[in-house]
Amino acid sequence: MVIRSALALFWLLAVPVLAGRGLSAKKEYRFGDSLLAGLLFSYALAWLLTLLFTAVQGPLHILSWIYGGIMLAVALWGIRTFILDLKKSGGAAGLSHHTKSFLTKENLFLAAAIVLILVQVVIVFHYGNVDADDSFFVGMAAGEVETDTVFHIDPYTGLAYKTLPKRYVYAQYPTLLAMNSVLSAGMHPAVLAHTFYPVVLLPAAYLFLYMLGKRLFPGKREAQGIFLLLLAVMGWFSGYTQKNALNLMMIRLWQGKAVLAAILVPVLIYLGLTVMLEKEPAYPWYYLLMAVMGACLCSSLGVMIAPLILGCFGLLDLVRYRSIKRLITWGICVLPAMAVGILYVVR
Amino acid sequence: MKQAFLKAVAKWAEYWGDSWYPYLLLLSMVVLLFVIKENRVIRDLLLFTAVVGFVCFFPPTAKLIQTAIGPYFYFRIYWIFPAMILIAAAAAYLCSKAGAFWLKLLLTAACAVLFALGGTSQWETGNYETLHNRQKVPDEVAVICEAIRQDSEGKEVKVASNDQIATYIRVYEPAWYMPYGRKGRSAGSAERKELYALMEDGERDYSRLATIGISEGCSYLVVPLRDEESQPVMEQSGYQMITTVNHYGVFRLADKGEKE
Repeated sequence: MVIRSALALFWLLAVPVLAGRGLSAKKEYRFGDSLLAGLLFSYALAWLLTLLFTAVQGPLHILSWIYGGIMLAVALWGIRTFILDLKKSGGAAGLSHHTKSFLTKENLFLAAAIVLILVQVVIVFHYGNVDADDSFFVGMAAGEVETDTVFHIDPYTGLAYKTLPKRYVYAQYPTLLAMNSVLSAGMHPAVLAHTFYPVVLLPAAYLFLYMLGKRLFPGKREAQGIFLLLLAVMGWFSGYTQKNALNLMMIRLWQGKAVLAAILVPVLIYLGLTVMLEKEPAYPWYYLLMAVMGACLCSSLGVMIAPLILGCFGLLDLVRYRSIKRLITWGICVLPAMAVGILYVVR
Repeated sequence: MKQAFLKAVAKWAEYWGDSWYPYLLLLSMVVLLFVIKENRVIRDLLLFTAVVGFVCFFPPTAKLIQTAIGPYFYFRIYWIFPAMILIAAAAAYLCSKAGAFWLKLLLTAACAVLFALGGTSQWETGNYETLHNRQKVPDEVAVICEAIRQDSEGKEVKVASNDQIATYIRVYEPAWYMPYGRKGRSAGSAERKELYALMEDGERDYSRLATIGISEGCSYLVVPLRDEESQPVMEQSGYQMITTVNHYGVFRLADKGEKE
């Protein structure tokens, strides 16, 4: 179990962060930027591969090793970049400087937010949330691991599908769970989903919100810290309905729709503000493309939500810059969702 | 069109429940309107919110989206409404503007208390529970599955139960087969649908339930026991009880020797 746990954390956290460093266009190392790039890349890659393997009915273990191999290759490239970064920043001395500069009064709110988030992480690790939707989402992944197939087994009965369910065939987030299970030496998908996914994805969701806060309050550390702290408070007190995005973040962060609502939607808004509405974007345009593909992986609703967000930002972008070239670029980013949307309607 | 707008409003109310957050959102947007001159990013966020608000509530676009995702699920469109980001941003702006550090602390604490009172704690809703199995399915299901696993000695298992149990069986043990899943999904035949209906019916006919179980090749049935008569009826109809877990009887399809 220890080896499996280490492998799970390796594939869920270390590999995306390292791969993200290799992919990140930023010269200066930022953990959040690396995780963002790595997570989006892993989702986009998983989406393309799951569609391909569903079409050819390939076995899950081959899919997992192709996915793992590509992620590992990009992560190795990221390690190389990371080592070069460390040399430039003065190695451990540079790291120590960062630690000392964090311990200031203006970071007190951020420190409080981190403590509150860590408490939440301990709670999601220790306790469980029983949700009937797992019957499909986790049941699908468990069935795929059991039978070494991709989207072939009905999770409700264990028998082969006669016709594939149209609603889920292009949004196979459970298959990513199955792939991570295979790569984690066969850790039970339910264990991976209910314990390791929230432990990794809950802090990631807050990190992306914090990055958004930094964008809203550039250079104002107190405001950034208060922003995150209050979001963490609202997260904990989001139990007023089962339907709101923060509640999904707190209790179901292993299901595709929760990842869409709690991670990818804020990420798309963040990218909209930093890429689409900026004359000189903070990230390259393909981040948007990867985010859209990730949204398609997570939920059939992502096919509508991602273009809707980008469409709203695109409208503002058009009014501001009156550039057809930019509009075409954003149009290309939503193409995968549009294509799948047409397939949902036609098939 | 009017219906689409009313549905959008109803789903908005449903999304927020009895929390104070929609009012806090309104207040936050007013606060942030005073910030747009000095903060371009907040202005952009507000503009985005306005466009999203228009798309969500303007009857033709609302109708279009409702047709695409279904009116029941329209609440999900509000995931793209950056409500909590706006509320946190407005509060963070106000708190950070306070002069002295202790005042900032006090204001932040006051906002935290306000947000706590305006929402519902995850503890209060009972969203987190202590579970004694690694898969984190209901403990009752885990105990039932372990009993069947021990009894089946590695043979193929096909099991049926009611919704409370059937929903999680294949999450815990994906090697097993079931005639239907959660809410009777994937049942296919009329007989399986009847089996599901009998499982869910408090006044179930145990004899009929066992007959269909045999016909569908269920090696195990996990049945809520109504009274003392339930077990003998099941056993006369071809199933042998191996254990009870809470009010559930776990029955194995008896071989010929056991029936005699």
